[in-house]
Amino acid sequence: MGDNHYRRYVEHRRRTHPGEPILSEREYWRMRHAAAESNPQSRCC
Amino acid sequence: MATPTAAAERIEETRGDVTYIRTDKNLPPVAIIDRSPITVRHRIIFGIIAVLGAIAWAIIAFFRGETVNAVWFVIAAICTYIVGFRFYARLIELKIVKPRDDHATPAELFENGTDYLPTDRRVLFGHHFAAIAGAGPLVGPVLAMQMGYLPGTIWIIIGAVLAGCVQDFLVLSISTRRRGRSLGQMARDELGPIGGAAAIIGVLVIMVILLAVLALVVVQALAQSPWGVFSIAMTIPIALFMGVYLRYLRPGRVTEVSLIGVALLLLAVAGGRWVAETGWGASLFNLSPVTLSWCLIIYGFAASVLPVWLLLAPRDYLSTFMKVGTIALLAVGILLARPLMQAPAISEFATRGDGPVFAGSLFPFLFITIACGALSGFHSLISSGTTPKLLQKESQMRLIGYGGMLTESFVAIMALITAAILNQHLYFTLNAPASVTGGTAETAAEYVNLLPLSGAPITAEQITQAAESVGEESIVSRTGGAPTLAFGMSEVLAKVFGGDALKAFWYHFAIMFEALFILTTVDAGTRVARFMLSDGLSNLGGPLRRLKDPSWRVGAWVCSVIVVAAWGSILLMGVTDPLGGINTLFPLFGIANQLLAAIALTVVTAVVVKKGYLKWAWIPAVPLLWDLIVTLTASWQKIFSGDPKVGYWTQHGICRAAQEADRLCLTAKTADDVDKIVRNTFIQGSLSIVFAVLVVIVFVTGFVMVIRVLRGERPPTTEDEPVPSRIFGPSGLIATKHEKEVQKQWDALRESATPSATSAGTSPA
Repeated sequence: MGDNHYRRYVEHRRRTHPGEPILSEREYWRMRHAAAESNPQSRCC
Repeated sequence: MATPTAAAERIEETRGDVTYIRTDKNLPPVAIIDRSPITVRHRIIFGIIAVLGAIAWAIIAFFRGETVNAVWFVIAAICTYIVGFRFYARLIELKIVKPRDDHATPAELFENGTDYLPTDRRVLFGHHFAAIAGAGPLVGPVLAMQMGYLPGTIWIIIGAVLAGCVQDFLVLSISTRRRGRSLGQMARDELGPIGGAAAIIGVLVIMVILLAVLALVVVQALAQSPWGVFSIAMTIPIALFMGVYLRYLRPGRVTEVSLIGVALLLLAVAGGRWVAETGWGASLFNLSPVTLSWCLIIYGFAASVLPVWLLLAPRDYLSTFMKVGTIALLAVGILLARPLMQAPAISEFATRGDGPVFAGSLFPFLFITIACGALSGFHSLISSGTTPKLLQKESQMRLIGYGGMLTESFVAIMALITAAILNQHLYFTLNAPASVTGGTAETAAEYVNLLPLSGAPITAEQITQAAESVGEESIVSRTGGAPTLAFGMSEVLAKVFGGDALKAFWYHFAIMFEALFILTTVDAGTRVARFMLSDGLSNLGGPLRRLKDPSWRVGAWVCSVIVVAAWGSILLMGVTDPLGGINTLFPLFGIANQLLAAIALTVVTAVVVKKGYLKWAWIPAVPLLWDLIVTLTASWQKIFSGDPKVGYWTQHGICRAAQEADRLCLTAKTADDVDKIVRNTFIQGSLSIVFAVLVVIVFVTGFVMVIRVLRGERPPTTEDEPVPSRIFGPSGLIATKHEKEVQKQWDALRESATPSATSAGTSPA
């Protein structure tokens, strides 16, 4: 459902951008929702 | 993450029938090609499944006497699905899709920890299923029950295996190889600018009619039902609470907040009875169809402009939880209750074509009424764009694309069963429009007893009693399919859980669950359509170019108003339609959905031919031709039929003449009704023409493309250059022995690299 998304994001950042700052969980979800805001996902019937 | 610059190193190692492919000598294999021949044990198992399926089909098709058990439908469906998945989907995979697990998917290539995320196949299966399945597969089969259970069963199961699943699977595969491009973009790339533009306009128009008809289903289910209105209204404060909880209290605790939400929701459904029995509750929540429509219109607009985190996202979590949970509950209920079929195999309406639920004969209208569950064009919007961004491995597309649609087909079969086990007189009492039932128990009993139905006639008392048993004032002419399904579900579930005492609870639970899906589709759909509209308008240039900026509030508001006004006006037209609303609009919804399938299958067929798999082009071309024949015949009849029950323009002409002569026409009771019919049939007739023309344009551009290829031209395909993959994932639902071995190597590697981290790419959420 999304419970592990933040953990995966942290791993991803560590792996690909080592040493760079990582968003907090709160900030991460704000960013996710901001992304959903400008790119809505369709739901079918 | 795969680095696009990495040198393509491909190391193959074959042990017996199994080939392991590595893209980096320091990493475990990323792909396994298993050429082991089918074992004797498997042959025997599939043989048994095939025989069992055949027996179940024979019982459904040839056993007469109104005592067919619902379990046979479940067996026939599941056996056919297993054979279809194991053999037909595998054939498509081998001959057309040719998955390459040594190539990175868009999810791996662009992984960003947010929307591109290689996701465990089992989790993605759930996501994909929740995105494709909604109220459609529940409503269509219920309405189609007018023609008996057999035609619907055959179309849902065979249609899914040969058409719907093929579409979903192939669209997913071509979008995955194009970095997750949307259907509209692929149409433009593969068919050229004309086909592309027609496809994009088609998608937008189709979306509007879809939203309107789904909203109409909700309105019909909730009108004059204070219990239902209260419980669905409560989903809004519950969603707001969940949104605030996730943003400010405990961000990221999705499962936790969803469980709280579901608990509150059950409380709201249970509390609805009490509220509906109080004086204030009954007056506050007893809304007329027109008032309810306005509420929905305002809600759709609000959901489109409010922040996603506040309403849309939490509602989506709630709806996903309810969807998976309730469908599993219904499956268990049917298997435990094992109800008997009350509907005939084929009814008289199938051949006569004058049934009250929807007009028209079996061909083509049955195949229009059941769109979702057998072949649904709308899925191509999910299979392109959304799902590829989460797909871990190409070989998982069969499970996600083909398997996801099989599951939706199964949902449709369960909906069909719940409608077929109802007393047939009751079924028509619920589903015939008020213009023929007269709206009261007495007149409805009189009307349905004249219909060519088997079984004992029904009395007005029995109808009133049935309404009371589910806690409603009246069940006469509760059209739209949702109340019928809820009634059937309450019978099944009350038999297994709670008995008659809980029947009313289950009925309102089912209504709430359907309304919840539909509202989720309505709010997400309004938003998506708003973006499509502003994107389309911004391409026109000039001052409209500013619409490209999604944060421009004025543009967002204006586009939202246009989208909501478009579906809202069709919704209002439906609820006030003197001809009955659902029975005139639902065919338009089915036609729209399947014309979208024609667009998707045209794109797929063109790609398959361009790639040189001409020999196998029949796999998408056969469903495409069938779909075109069905939808264009239906469109033709809706436009040109001289039968006043079917043809929009014939209805229009009759009422137009009556209007001029100051007379009444068809089911009109006042001069105002006559004006309404003249206006509604004009809009419906025009929409039919627009849909058909757009699809013919797309099909012709696809056809031209195929001819060019056959003449030896090589029009470019837009498949992207493959990039070597650096992750692994099993293909099927259950990992094979070899896959488990390789998975262990990856897990070991991951643990040695980051001791604290768990295997993120592979653990289910």
